Amino acid sequence: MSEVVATTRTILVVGGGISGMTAALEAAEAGADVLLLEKGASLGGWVSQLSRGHPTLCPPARTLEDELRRLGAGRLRVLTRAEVVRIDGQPGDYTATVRLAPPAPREVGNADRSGDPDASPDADPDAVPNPDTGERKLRVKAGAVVWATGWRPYDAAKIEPYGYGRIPDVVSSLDFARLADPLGPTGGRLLRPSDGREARRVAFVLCAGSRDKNHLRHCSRVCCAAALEQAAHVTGHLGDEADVTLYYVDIRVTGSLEDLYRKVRSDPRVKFVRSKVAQITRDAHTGSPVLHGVATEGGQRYARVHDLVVLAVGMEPGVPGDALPLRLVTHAGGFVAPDPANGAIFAAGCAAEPLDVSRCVQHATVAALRALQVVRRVGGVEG
Amino acid sequence: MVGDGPGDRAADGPEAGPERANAPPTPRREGGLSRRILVVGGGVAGMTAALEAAKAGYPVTLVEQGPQLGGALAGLWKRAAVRSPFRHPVDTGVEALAEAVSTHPGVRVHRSAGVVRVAGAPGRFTVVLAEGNGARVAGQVGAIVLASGFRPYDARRLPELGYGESPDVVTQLELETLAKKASGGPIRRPSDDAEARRVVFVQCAGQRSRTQGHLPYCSGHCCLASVKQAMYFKDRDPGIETLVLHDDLRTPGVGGEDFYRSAQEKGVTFVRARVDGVVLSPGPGGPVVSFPDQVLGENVSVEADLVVLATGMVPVSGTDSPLPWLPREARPTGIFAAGAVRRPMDSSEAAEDGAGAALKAIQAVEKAALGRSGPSPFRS
Amino acid sequence: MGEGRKDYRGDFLAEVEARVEEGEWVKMCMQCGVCSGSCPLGPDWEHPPHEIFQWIRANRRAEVLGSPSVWMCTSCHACVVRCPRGVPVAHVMHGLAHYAARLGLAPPGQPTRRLAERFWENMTRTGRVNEPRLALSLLFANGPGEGLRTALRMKDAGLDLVRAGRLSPLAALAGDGVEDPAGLRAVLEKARAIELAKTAALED
Repeated sequence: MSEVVATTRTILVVGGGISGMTAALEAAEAGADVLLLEKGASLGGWVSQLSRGHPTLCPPARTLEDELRRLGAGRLRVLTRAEVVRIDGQPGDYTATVRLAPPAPREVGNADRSGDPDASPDADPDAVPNPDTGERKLRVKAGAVVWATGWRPYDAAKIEPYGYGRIPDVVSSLDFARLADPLGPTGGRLLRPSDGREARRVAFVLCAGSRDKNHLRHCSRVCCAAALEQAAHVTGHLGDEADVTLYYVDIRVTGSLEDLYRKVRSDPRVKFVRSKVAQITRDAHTGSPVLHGVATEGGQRYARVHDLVVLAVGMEPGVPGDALPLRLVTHAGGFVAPDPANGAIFAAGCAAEPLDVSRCVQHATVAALRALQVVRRVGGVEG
Repeated sequence: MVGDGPGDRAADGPEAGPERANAPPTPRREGGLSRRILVVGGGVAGMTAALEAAKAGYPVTLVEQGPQLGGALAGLWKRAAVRSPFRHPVDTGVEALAEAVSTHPGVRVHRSAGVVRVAGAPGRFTVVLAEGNGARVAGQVGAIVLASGFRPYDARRLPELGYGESPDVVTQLELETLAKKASGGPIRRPSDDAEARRVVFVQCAGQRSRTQGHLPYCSGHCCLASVKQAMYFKDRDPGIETLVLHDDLRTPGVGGEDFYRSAQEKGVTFVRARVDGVVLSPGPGGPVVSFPDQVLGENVSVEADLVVLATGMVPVSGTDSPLPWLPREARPTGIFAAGAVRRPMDSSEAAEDGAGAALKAIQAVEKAALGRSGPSPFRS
Repeated sequence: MGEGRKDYRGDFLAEVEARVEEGEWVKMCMQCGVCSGSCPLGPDWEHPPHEIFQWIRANRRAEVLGSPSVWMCTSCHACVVRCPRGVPVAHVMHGLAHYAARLGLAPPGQPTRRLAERFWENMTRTGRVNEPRLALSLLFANGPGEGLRTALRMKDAGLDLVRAGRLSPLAALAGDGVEDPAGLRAVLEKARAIELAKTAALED
């Protein structure tokens, strides 16, 4: 099989997280030629990092592991350490400029599942490594592009009154996921950063940066369910010792996730306080974080000491609107909109809007279809 | 090789020819596998699945049990905004979608028809359709999308919320009917046809509840729907009073919060009050809604002339139980569920889900063409 | 409804939007409570800001305009910078207080109101605040006995202020002012007339 890297009948998928992997696989399984580019060294994205901490929200059996196993498909090639810096062209005929970081991007997912040897990007003989950085440039053709660059957590340090970065035991939900990970730095023990003691009184602060004109205007959708799952983890981990409080404005879980909410809500070890936390200070004597605010149901003012405070940070686009490799129509927060003006560039998953894993899979499947429709039109009869 | 070009087998499929009921299935042509995709259900999920599959080059047969395409979406006056700046209700687009489906050369539509028999495997399903006139049509399809939708929760189970007691207590879907009838003019309440000028929305009616006969889950779309419906009134006349009684207001995602903010800008008032504390009683001018106001910490009563209950969705999956919802791919393989039959969802998500199911169906057809059914079939 | 009450009728909200400075923001509150939790005087409010917002929507005119709570704001603006909806909470509270005072509905004897009134009188006389005079008038507001006791209790703080150059006892006698205090008063009188015209037709 002698192949060029890509033609105008190729679907280029940018981003190797759950959405990009899904889009690539779904398109390949429908018979398309697919090139999947991932900026980092390995595939998997956030799901690979968070699935152990969120078995309900990131069911690894149904998503990541499954997807990785399917990566052998011959019409799907994968390049890691490959970043798209520029896209030119029009629907049916795009050219992407790709920066390849050294060493040569060969690995696909896990090392033992290496990709097709034909996938090496040697189609462009001019791709001479930069002598200083070892970087190479590659140009690839594509008929359609699935933009699946995912999300990044909102920088908790920007929420000044919450003291992230100043108060050691105020952590983000992603920091907490590392603490709760049995393969993480603490072996899954909830040791608070300041003194290494096991945290017992754990607070979850929802809407940390979301639904807020000063930060992210949108609701990030996943943080409520993630916080509930993390709260359930604390009670499961600590047993009767657990003393968990969720500070929230609205708990937003839909469908059958209501069962998770009901379970956590009925747990006597978990308190729910309807309140946007006003401020977090550090107790002068113990150094523990203290949460201040007013409960809007009942009106009680609180100043409550916790061992560990988890900020349920929101989602923003992984590539901000002003850093996209071409002009795209975006929503206010920089998420790529489904707009005809974007031609055959189809955003998938959290590049398009804040979504949970199952919705990412659903969304990415549609992006794959849209791309497939374009390359089918370009290619005429598939051969 | 993947096979021959998409669409070039439009001749096969259920419309290959009428035949007597219970006749043996049409014999498959030698080596002939069907690329045709059968879509069951002509709502937004089914129509989208049909149109998207056709756009990708596959012949489609769409079967709708009713006389018209459109499903539940056809019953809506507007839908929530789907684009920035997420401010106003927008047209549902259902007529354009139905038109696109009906006129696409790759789609054959059977109205007032149902599927009475399915047998076979991906690439070679034999299906028998029953037409409205009693005729039966048999033929072959490669994959099936099941988009049979939902039915509204039976609000008669909510007498405590006044449903059935007062004609001026309606469900969200019934309000859509009233709004369609008004067609931009004053929305009139059922009892005396007077314009509704004080409207109370009750969220989570019969939902998120362990009470016998209620739905245990959250249907997900109803908060945004009430936000939208309150705008129907405010956009017409800001002097109309609209009150949304809610516990957790759920408007997630990229535009939900902007839509909620926009409703507040238009003067919609939101009140924290859990549905299990809401009581309706008859008043001189209409229903009186009483509830414990969670912020004021007092019991409050308001006079309404129209009350809208945000009741949920129950899937139409062949069982009478509200659960379980269907998984994406049924057994046997090659049959893919799409839309609200899978889980409660609004029309935007149903359209997305329908498009996704179209791709899954395309894959099933392509895999069958290669004689495979498992994953990773494309290394040649 | 209750005893002839019209809960959640929009009358009072409409009045606030039309008559109260920044009143059109009241409808935007999302009841998160961050304003109330941020207020340094929070424990002293009978009804903290988020409740005031809901009371306005609930059509509780007498309760809101007669409430001492709307007089509690010290303009620290912690609520304003933290409000996720960008509501200028402090301005709304001042607007409500001012409006209540204009209508004669403000609670009598409210200490923060008295402070505000004396500050205003003091400042508008010359165009500059005369701090020693303001302090003296507040000290003796409840009679000479309490005034003397308070003065003795506060004397160290007062002396510290003098030593630091932040307070000049001589200024109580002289003090400075703007070049044209009469012109300033004319400007303020005009502004007052405009505001009163806004509420003139209200007594119905």
